[in-house]
Formats: sequence, C-alpha cells, structure tokens
Amino acid sequence: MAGGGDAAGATDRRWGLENGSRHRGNALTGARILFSSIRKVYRRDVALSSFSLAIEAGEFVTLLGPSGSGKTTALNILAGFTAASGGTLGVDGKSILDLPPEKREIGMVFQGYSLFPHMTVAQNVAFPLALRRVAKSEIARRVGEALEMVRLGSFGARMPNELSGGQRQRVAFARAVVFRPRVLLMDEPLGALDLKLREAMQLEIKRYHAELGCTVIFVTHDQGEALALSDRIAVMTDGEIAQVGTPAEIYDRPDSQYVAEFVGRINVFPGQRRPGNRIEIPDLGLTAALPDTVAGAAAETVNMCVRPEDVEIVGPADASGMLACDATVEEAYFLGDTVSYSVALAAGRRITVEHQRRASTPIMPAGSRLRLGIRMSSAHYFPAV
Amino acid sequence: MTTIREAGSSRMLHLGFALILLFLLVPLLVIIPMSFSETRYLAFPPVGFSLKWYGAFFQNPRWIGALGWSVGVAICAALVAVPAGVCAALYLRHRSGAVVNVVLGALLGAQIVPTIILALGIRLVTAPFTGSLPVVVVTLAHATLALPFVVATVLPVLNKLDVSVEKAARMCGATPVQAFRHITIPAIRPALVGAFVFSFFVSFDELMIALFTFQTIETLPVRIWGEVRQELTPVIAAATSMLIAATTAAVIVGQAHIVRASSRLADK
Ligand SMILES: Nc1ncnc2c1ncn2[C@@H]1O[C@H](COP(=O)(O)OP(=O)(O)OP(=O)(O)O)[C@@H](O)[C@H]1O
Ligand SMILES: [Mg+2]
Repeated sequence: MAGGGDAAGATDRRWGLENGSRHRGNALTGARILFSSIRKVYRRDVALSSFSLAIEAGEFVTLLGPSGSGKTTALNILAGFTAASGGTLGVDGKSILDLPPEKREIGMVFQGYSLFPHMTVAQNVAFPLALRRVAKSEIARRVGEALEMVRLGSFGARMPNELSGGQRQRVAFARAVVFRPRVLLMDEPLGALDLKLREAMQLEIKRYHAELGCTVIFVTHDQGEALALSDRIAVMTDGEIAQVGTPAEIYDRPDSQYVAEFVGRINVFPGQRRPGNRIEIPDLGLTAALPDTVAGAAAETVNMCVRPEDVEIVGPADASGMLACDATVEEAYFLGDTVSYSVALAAGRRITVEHQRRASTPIMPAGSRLRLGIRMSSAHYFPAV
Repeated sequence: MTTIREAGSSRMLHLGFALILLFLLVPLLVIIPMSFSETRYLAFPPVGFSLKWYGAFFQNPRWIGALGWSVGVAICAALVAVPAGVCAALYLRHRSGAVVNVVLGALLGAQIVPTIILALGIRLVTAPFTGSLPVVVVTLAHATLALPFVVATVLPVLNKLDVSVEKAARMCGATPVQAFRHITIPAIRPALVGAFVFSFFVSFDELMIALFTFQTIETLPVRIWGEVRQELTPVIAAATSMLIAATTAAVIVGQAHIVRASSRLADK
C-alpha cells in the first residue's frame, strides 16, 4: 500500500513537472500586460500622469506620440529601469514592479542597436542563453535558429562593427527574442535607419511577431509606422493616453482634434454653435447639424475637421453628396502618385487637398481656380479648447 | 584677412612645434649612438660599433637587480592605478563637464606639485622605516602620479559606450555585476590595456620619489643616476637607450589600444 502510494506520488510529481514544462512551452503565446494609473514624476516634469493600458496576450501595441510625451518612460517602467512614482503594473496578473530588469524575462530592442562591441554576432545572440546556463549544444542550435529567422545565418562570426545598420538591428532583434521572452519591447528601433530600410524592416518585424506570438510594445513617433504595424495604437500626449484603438479607429474616428492632427492630416474649419444643436461655419457659408457626441459639450466654438482625402476636385456638375465650393490654388506639392494642393477658399481659409494622379494628369499651377467637393459625411466635430 | 593671418599663425605654430620636437629629440639622437661606441668612456661621435655595453648591462647583477625592482614596482603601481582610475572614471561617467574638470584637476594636482616636494614629503614620513613599507609607499605614490592618465584614457571610451549597451545586457538577464564583468569591462578592455601600459611607464621612468625614499633598493632610473655621478661609462648610454626604446614602444602600443578602443565603439 505504502509502496503504491509512493509510486502514485512519484507519478504525480512527474506529471506536475511535465505540465510545468509544457506550460513553459506555451509561454511563447505572449503575456497580458496591465498598466493601472502609472505615474512618473521627475523634479521638474510629470513624465507620466496617469497611464492606464490593458494589453492582450500576443497583441502588437504601439505607443505613438511626440517627443517628450512619455513613451520611453512607460517602456522603461515596464523594463524595470525606471521606478514608477505610483500605480500598479502587472504581467499575467502578477505585479512586477519589485523585480529588477533581469528578473522580468522581457526582451528589448533599443534605438541604437546596443550590440556588445567585443562579441561576435553569434556571441551577442548567445549571451542571454549563456546567462541562463543553457547547454552548449542547445545554445548553438537556438542561436542558429534565431539568426536564420532574421536572415543572418551566415553572419555569426562577424563583429558588430562589420555590419550595416539594418543588419545590426536584426542582430539586436535576434538577441532580444532568443530566450523566448513573452513580452518584447522596442523603443524606436527603426529610428536610425533610412526610409527604404525602415519600410523593409517594418515588414520583417510584422513577420517576426507573427512567427513568435509574443506581446509587443513598440514605441515610435512616426504615425505611418504605427498605422502599418499595430494591432492597436495608444496615442500619447503630455504623459497621458489621448486615445487607444485599432489603426482604423484612430484614423477614421479620432476622439479629439489632437489625435486627428497627429495621426494623418486634417483641415480645420472653426464654427459657432447655433440654437437647435447646429453649427455655423462662416468659411463654407453653411449651417450643419452637430452629431450627438459633441452636442452636449459646453464649448461655444466647435471645429469641423475634414481629412484632405475627403476633399475632392470636382467638375461643375458632379458634386453629388458633397458640399461644393470654389477655391484658388496657392501652391502645389508634387508627391508622385498624388499632388497636394494648398488652396484658398472664397472666404480666405486655406486648406489642403490631395489629388490622386496619373502620368497624364496635369498639375494645376498657382492661381488656377477650381471647384471642390467636401464629403460632409466624413467630417469630424471637436469642441475647441 | 583672417584666413591669411590664421595661415601665418598656424605656420608659426608648426615651426615652434618642430623646434620643440628637435630639442627633445637631440639628446636621444646623441645618447643612442653613444651606446654602441667601442670606447670605455662616453664618446660622441661614437668610435666603432659594438654591442658590448649592452652585454655588460645584462651581466651586471646591479643593473639587472635595478631593472627587476623597476619592473616590479611599475607593475604593482599599474595594478593599483588602473582599477582606481576605472572607479574614478565610472564615477565621472555622464557627469557634467564642471564636475569632470574639478575631479580631473584635483587628480592632476599631484603632478603639478613639483615631484621633488612630493618626494621630500614621502622621504620624511618613511625615513624611520625599512623593509617593505618604503616599497609600498613608492608604489602608491607612482600609482597616484599615473591616476590622471588612467582617467583621461578610460573616461572618453566609457562615455562613448552607450548606456543602452549595459541596459541591453540587463534585459538579456544579467545582474548589474554580471553586466559590468561580461559587458562593460570587456567592451573597454583595449583602453584598460592602454591605461596599464601608460601607468607602467609613469612609474618605470620615475626617479625622484624612488631616489629619496629607497635607502638600499635601486630602481633603474636610480641606478642610472648613481652611475652618472660616479663614472660615465657607455653602459649608461645602453641602459638609457633601452629605456627610451621601451618607452617609445609603450607609447605606440598604448596609443594603438586607445585608438582601437574608441574606434570599436565609434560607429553605432
Ligand atoms: N531622467 C529624467 N530626469 C528628468 N526628466 C526626465 C527624465 N527622463 C525623462 N524626463 C522627462 O519626462 C518626459 C517624458 O520623457 P520620455 O523620454 O518618456 O519621452 P518620449 O516620449 O520617449 O520622447 P522621445 O520621442 O523624444 O524619445 C520629458 O519631459 C522628459 O524631459
Ligand atoms: Mg523616447
């Protein structure tokens, strides 16, 4: 009897161990992250005032904001380099604020690549595994895999200063993920690369994310990059999140004029409130109905905002469903597939119009008169502050 | 106008520099040929060609003993100066220019004080003692003289090493101590080698403190000094020539390491 019990216990223990290791295998699916009211106050600045963000397992979230808005601070608090002044931060439901960076099991890619200058590419990538006392043969196998993933399989023996910027960035990436962290942080990883390389690396990063399945927090102040890469974007301003949403939500339904202006471009028409929840826009000489979302706001001035692509150049007759108005070209910016016109409306307001073009499309010179159709159904209304 | 004046003053500068260099080089150009002279006395121009004075140097236990002491003290001084200088450089890293200048100035103070005063002070303190204490004191004094060289060598390289390299090590799972041992130190190792070589020769060349403090021990410069006062044989020229050769080689090797240290970190 006693012997049977022992055997059962041993089996249980073995199962427990196996369950444990299988669980660790699943760890590749990424971790949930919950920032709750995280604050960071420096002597002169409030870097983060109340940062709350819930990130799903395996999600790709971008912190997008202008310089000084607190993106790096948020990332450093998660990485463990900066102590929060208040709030809580959990990874998979466990608080990690008391752990030093090396205990958090988070991968990170820095803007300056930050490769170890005295180590070869392979040694750089092996470093996290060597610290974890992984067996030599296993290290060799996993370093090989990681370098294959970033298409640098034959570069293991090179020194970092023998690589191009893009190659260094990929080594930094391989090093950050080789120990299979469930969370990967990237602080402007493409900031130092030229435009073509940036675009190529954006595709690569998307591919790595799909392959690895870890949760990614990506920091950038490039809105195009954020729109192209993210599952969700958190737009930041002055240590706060202005809006969180999918790229389409952020672009199509901005919550504030700040978000509308920061992500994409926008034309602003100031308007005055009139009785019956209406707004009068002198620049366009019209009165429109306000949507319910702004109808309750107290502000007397409400801005109507329209993206340049919702303003079209139309013929005399075919402005159907659009508000027609006359304008004069002031300047034309040739962008290849589009021409961006800066035009003046009759009332004097200057707006931007983007015109899709083909090789045969002539570019209208300054002074040309044209007729615009404004798609009023796509307009956004924000109370002026 | 200004360019012409600048060109003129830069030509003056070059001329001045060339004169100073010549002034420094002449004694070397005199001493090295004299060490190959066949005569029993120091002769210029040298007579004939012989390596016998070099042979005499290596056969004389007093010269060899002095060389041994010099090397020993210099190695110990460098072993003290480099870690101490690295600590100072780590403290100064990322500090404002004002703090760096004050600390470097304080370190350089030991060199601005005439060495003879330093040597006299040390002599007065250590006079009652014999045995190993004077050796320790001289070693520490040499280390102090070398310290500003170490800081001046290591600090710029350390400042060039992006902090995010060490942060990256932490994110890889390294404790602060592991990051320092496996990343920071190896990343700046060429600068440490350069600093070690310079420190070694600061001590190796130093006469005054060793002369005043040691009563029975001779270092190489002390031995040369003693020999000069007794009889001028070409052995001195041989010893001095070797000192010059070693120092020159060391400066080149040291400088090469420093250049390598910063070039490796340069393009990030
Ligand atoms: N160590 C510090 N000491 C004092 N203030 C700091 C410190 N680090 C950051 N700040 C301040 O906190 C605010 C947020 O800085 P943070 O680095 O998070 O901005 P960011 O969004 O990453 O900007 P960037 O796009 O320029 O990298 C800034 O106003 C900055 O001046
Ligand atoms: Mg930043």
